[in-house]
Amino acid sequence: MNSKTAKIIARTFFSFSLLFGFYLMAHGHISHGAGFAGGVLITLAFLQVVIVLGKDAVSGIINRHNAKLVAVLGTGALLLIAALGYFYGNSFLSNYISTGTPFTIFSGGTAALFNIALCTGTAGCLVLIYLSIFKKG
Amino acid sequence: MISIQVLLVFMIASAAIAVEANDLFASVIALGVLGLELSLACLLLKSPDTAIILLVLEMIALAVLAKAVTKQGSKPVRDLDPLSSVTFIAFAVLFVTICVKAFAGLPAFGSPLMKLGDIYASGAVEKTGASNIVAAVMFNFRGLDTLIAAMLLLLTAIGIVHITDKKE
Repeated sequence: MNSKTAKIIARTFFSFSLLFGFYLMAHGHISHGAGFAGGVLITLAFLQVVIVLGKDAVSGIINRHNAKLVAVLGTGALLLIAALGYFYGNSFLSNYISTGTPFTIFSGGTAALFNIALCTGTAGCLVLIYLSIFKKG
Repeated sequence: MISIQVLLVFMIASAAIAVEANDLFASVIALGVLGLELSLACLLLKSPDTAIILLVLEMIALAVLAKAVTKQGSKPVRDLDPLSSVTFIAFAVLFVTICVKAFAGLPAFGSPLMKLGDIYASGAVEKTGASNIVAAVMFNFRGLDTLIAAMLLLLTAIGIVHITDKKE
């Protein structure tokens, strides 16, 4: 895309979109929005840069290899958190971490960790799907 | 509730434009407007979590569809032949008839039975420590659903990577 306006807007809003995505991820168990919404928003932040600045300009960071790594790590962490319930809790997916005080950041037990893992997995998968479909930019 | 009904009229109009527009790019834009209206409807029905996800997903879908359409060139959609229109109308009438019969048996809108919902809503914050009850249900009571949804997303990504790699 050759539009200078689009480039300025994409560069400016990249950090804001990313910050809002991380906010939704971290506060998913306290307020509205959760891991999935945060992950999709982070994907959107990366995709606006890829679409406007071009795939080659950002290929050092946003490429298929990194996207694969993030997708597998996120989903793997989700499985690991669920499986650890066998050892530290009563069953698979049980809430084995202290639930803490509600309405504070350190609350929710495994729900907070699930949010982070789901956000990472979703962002990785969606970026990977986009980069695979539009390979030539 | 009047705002929902007004929004519904706009949603039907956007959907009709998306289906009937001759230009493919106009259809994509109409689809984006429809998604925005759906997100607003969720907000009015007091479901902000769904509204956020719908809004953001709609943006991604719009970006991908717009890119795909502009890449292919905006070709006019071919006109439908009379036979397919008649078939469409016949199936639409059948669908509406079945829907009317199926929805007649449901409890009235706004007064759900809340058998399972009552258990979730009462004491979910104390049980899980998560003050957002939607997150408490998603990650605790229905954790397996969320886990399988994430697996499904990864499976979709693997499938797309496999197919696009094979094409080269």
